[in-house]
Amino acid sequence: MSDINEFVKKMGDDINATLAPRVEQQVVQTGNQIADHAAPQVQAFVDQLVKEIAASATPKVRDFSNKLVKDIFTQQSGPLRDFVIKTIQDLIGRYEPVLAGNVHTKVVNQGIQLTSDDTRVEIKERATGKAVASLDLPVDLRIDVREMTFELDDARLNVKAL
Amino acid sequence: MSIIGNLITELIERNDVVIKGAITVGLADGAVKLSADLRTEVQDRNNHNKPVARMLIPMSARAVVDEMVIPVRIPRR
Repeated sequence: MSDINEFVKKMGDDINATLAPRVEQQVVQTGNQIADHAAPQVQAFVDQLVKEIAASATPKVRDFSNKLVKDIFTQQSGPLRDFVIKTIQDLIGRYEPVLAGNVHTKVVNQGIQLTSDDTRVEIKERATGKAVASLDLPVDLRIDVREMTFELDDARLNVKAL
Repeated sequence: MSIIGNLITELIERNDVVIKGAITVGLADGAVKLSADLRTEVQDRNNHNKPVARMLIPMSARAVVDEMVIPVRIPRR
């Protein structure tokens, strides 16, 4: 028997183990690209700034930082978007949810009772079929069925002798 | 055919049997129950459907239904 907390923890552990290295690699790669792109411009700007360290520097700093931030976001938004889309696609492709169990149905007084102690949602690895996590879904459901009365108004039998 | 045979044949053919009443179907523990109170009347067709005989037929029946196990698997294998 596993409750929702254990189910979420197991799913989290598996996603973490699978995706954490890729996220880390993506972050490092993005950081390197930002550094590669920004460093020469920062260096050039600092050189220029030292030369022109006069009162007119402030608007230039503002303009430069605005442009730099815009450039970096423009450049990195594409790879980050692709990374997120690919990650979601991989997650959906990796896991297969399965609902399984046995529902016991019996007739009770003025109703039908549905019960199940072994119905569960299983999350499996699609490739191997290995169970990653399981969430029990106990069922206890009663459907009320009222009595039905049929009125027989006039049933006429006409017997013919053979 | 004998006289009695002719008599029975004529009696059968000139009379209608009319059934009226209520039939109730419900669920009880482990069973479907059926009960009915039927009023049956034999009418003389050649005499303006005059009632010849009346019968009351109370009925009570019970069909036992065992527990059913429905295997669930979504998606199917």
